[in-house]
Amino acid sequence: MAFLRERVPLQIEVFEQLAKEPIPVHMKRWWYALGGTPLICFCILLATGICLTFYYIPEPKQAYRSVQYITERVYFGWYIRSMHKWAGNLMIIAVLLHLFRVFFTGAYRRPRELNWMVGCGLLFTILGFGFTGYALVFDQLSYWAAQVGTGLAAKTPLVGEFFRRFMLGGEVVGEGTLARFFVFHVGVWPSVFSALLGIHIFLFRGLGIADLGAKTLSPGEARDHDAMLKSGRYFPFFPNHAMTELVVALAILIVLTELSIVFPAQLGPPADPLNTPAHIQPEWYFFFQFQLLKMFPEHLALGLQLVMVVIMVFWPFIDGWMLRRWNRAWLSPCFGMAGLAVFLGLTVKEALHGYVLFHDWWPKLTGSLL
Amino acid sequence: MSETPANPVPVHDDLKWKKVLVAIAAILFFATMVSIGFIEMWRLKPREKSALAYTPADSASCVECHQRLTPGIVSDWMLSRHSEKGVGCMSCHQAESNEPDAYEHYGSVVATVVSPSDCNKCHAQIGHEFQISHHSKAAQFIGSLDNFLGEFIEGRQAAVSGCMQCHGSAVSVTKVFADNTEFTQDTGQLLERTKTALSQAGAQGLEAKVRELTSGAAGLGQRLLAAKALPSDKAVLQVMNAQDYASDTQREDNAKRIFYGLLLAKGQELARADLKQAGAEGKLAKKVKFDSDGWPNTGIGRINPDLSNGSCTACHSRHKFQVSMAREPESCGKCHLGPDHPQYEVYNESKHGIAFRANRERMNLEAHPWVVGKDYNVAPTCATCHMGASRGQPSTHDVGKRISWTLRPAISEKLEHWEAKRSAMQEVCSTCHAKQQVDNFYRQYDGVVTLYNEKFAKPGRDIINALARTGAITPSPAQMAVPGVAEAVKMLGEKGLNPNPFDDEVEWTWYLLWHHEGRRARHGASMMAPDYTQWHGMFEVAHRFYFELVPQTRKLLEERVHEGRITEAQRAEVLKVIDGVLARTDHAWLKGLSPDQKREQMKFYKDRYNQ
Amino acid sequence: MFVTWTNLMNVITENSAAGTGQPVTPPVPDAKAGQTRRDFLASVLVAGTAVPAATGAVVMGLRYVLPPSRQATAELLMCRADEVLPGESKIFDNVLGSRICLLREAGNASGGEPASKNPFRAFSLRCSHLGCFAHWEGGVRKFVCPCHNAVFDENGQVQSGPPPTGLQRIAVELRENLVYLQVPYVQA
Repeated sequence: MAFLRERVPLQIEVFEQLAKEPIPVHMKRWWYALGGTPLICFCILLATGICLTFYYIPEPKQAYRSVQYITERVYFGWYIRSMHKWAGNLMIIAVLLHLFRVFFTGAYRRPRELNWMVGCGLLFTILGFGFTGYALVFDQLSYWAAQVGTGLAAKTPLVGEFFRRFMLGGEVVGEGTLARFFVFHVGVWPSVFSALLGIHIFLFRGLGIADLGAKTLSPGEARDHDAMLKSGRYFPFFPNHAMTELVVALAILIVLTELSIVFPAQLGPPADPLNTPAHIQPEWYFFFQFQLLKMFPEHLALGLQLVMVVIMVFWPFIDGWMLRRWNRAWLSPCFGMAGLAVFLGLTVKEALHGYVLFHDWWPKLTGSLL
Repeated sequence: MSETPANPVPVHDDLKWKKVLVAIAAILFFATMVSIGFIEMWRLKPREKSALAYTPADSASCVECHQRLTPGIVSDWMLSRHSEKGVGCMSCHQAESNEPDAYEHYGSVVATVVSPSDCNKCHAQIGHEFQISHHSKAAQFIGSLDNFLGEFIEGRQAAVSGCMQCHGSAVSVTKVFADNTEFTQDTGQLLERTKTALSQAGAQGLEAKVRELTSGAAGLGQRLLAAKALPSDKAVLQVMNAQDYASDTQREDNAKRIFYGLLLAKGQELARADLKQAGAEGKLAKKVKFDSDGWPNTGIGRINPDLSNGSCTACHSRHKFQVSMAREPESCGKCHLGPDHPQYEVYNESKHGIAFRANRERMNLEAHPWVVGKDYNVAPTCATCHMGASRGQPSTHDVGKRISWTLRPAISEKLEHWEAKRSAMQEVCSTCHAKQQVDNFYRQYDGVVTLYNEKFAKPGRDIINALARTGAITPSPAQMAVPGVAEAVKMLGEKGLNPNPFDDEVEWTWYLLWHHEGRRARHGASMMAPDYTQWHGMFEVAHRFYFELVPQTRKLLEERVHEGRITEAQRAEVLKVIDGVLARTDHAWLKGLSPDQKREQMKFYKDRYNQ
Repeated sequence: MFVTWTNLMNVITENSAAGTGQPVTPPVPDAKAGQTRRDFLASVLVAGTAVPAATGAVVMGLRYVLPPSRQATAELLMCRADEVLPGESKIFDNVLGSRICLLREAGNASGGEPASKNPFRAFSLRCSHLGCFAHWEGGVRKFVCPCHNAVFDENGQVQSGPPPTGLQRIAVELRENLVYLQVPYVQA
């Protein structure tokens, strides 16, 4: 190792410091260890996604065929693809749960407002992943989801037309669209995600995990790892927490594998630009938006969404202002519950709409949750 | 440091447990990996080799478009052996612009109807065998009783959707050109004109074709060209010498082949002349219209626009062309069933049919080759005996090659070379049956046919001919050759009555007797179906004869005398014929039989019919 | 990695020495006490299961990235025997990714050859040098590749030029006047 020490201009001790990072003791509880789930899912998505790009061809006539090839012919192709699908779903669920957790524990408060905004950015990136990834299969649902999505973007005032042509890469959903969605899914969003994730980790490592029930440490105190560990209210990241996370990772792999076996990723009928299928629905995480579009005229719906996004992104500051103004602890959770209720309500409404109207919710559940 | 924390959490102990937990999780994960591995193995278990379809370059655009328009056709083709071997759409549908049904289609020249001439390009031997067989002539029954029945007594539409769907239609086609002019070919008429041309001028103008057709027999070509008239393959046979081909059968087969070749060539010449006359030679049609009387049709004797006979699709349905489908009895049963020739029902009743149904999965129907006794043993289908390869014979598409009796006419006859044909059939039987069983069966079979012939058919024919001779009935065209009928026709003509095969009730009775019940009895005997031989067969023959034909004849005679159409003497003439028949030993039961007489009768039958 | 493993060992060391309930100091790189059997077993268990699990995943991944193989050749019906006269050739473009030349031996045109002999030969026209397509020169009865002037004789053997081996021979079968070729799959 003297070999490395001479050539790599880093002090090993720095790694030691990082490895033994003190973690607040409440993190020993398994419940708290689930926070690593999005990262685990992301690693799975990255690995399976790279594997999928070995065989996927982003051209309208080839896309469906290549996905079929993966699912039916390539060894373990069905497994890689199903893992990719389920990890994606789990990712979004985990991120949403993480968002709610952070919200209701007030972990976005000063000095962590910026981290909240970065987190929102991560959420939108992930939704972008979901939207572009789903369209790549190029079956009926993919095609028409892309059609609707780009159509919606076109309705944005002023920049709508630009968005539409930018997303379509042509006049209609076609080879340009597929190429762009592929670039976004495989190049742009991963890069953006990695960058934002880096910032996110940097911020929460630097600022420390929001410590429930304990006083916030000053930066000076936060650097005195030994004292923290000795105090008994902290424990080292490596190997203790690392082991916990390892178990969680393996458990997630097992659960996802079981899901992949029991509900493998399916393929709907190939995209037919001349035929809109009877039941068209986006992915479940867009149900909320879909319902909004059904309930309100487009511009109003767009406007509402924009307002909701702004409120969500700038929430720490809004919350800070509310606290200063009224200083009621229950205000923020109330807003949160209201927001959650609306989101869940509209999502469930859309899901039921699909069920009630078409009575084939089971295949749709397993088919459309790509 | 010695502060005691409020909550001393044993850090390192639970690390050990965490490691154990990691180990357990890793084991579980490993177990899921293993299960994935098993799932993969199960999924990729070698199934029966799923052959890949290869689309040749010239057919790629056909497949692309038709996959959306008519996916059934493309998926059928992809399941076929043709696609495995790279035989695509253009291999069969490609056409020249002068062909009667050729048209331009998205950059290619195609013809919808794929005739045996097209199939023969690759399947030459099968095509030849089919052309010399009776199947190929199925549509040429113009002027037959059945034809009259279908087209006139019932009606044209009945013939189009009924008779012709099995026997085959003449496919007439109209070409539509870009300038909206049209050119119609009436294929039936073209065939007649071609036959007339050959009858009148022989092979004049077809020198090249004659040379090609007679390449194996020196001198025959010149003799053919010298012949003034070649109305049929019999005429060609007459021109042949013993030196031309090795055996009688070869001569006959080649005569048919040569005549057919001349017919096609002459027909093509006439068709080309027609096109030229209409100014349409060399013009490429933009589309074609088929006369609905002739198309769609997959009758086995279909007369195609190029005058070739037959439709391979009749048994080898397009576009899968599965040989297993053609080997199923149902394929034959599409046409060979019904009250007048229930071969399919007879087969189903017989032990052969029962064995087939019970052992279907062991029939190996897709095999190439398919030799009975080698590739399958459990049961024969129609194809096995009548066409299929056996240990001593190759397969043939000449379905008459192993038939000794013709069961079609009113009086059954042994065919030419029946001994050789019977031996050929018996060779197939011997795959499963010992000699005595086969020989005795043929004795039983011959016995039934002879019984029918002698006891009912010939007497019935005599009675009907007698009626025609006297003018009591208006004769059918088949009776014109009978002595005395020509005079009767003249006599009737003076009365304003024309020959008509079905205007007298007794004519229908006679028809039903031999064409329906008589055939049922004979077919039942031929393929070991006792019920068809007896209750659907000879029982009904007997009943029809004794209690319809004879009484109706007597009654008709009375009426005719009453009308004044025939004289008493003529009536007596016919009655004498009837009495003569009924006086015979085998009809003596009518008068009642004593035990002795019964014994005598049994002996009589054994001697007379058990040949 | 080396250092952190040492840390791990020392953590385990600390565990055995510490007993229960006491607050412990973070591990120091040079503590040296032995580990208990239980701890050893626990580590072995982890390694013993993690290694197969990881190996399994890696093997699966490796199997995944290799595309499924397909049969090597397909027997295709290319033409009728009488479409290629004796001494003539026929080129088939784009047959499963190959370009193929079918040659018929010049011989007695009217069946002087014994019936059992197959007068056909077929070659893939892809030059074994760098993959250009050669063409058949009927006049001199040679295959010529234009890229680097390679010449092959009528049996596909290299006569001159850079190619290392001759043209790939393709099996021809003649059945009932029909020519079948065993065409290798060259593209997916």
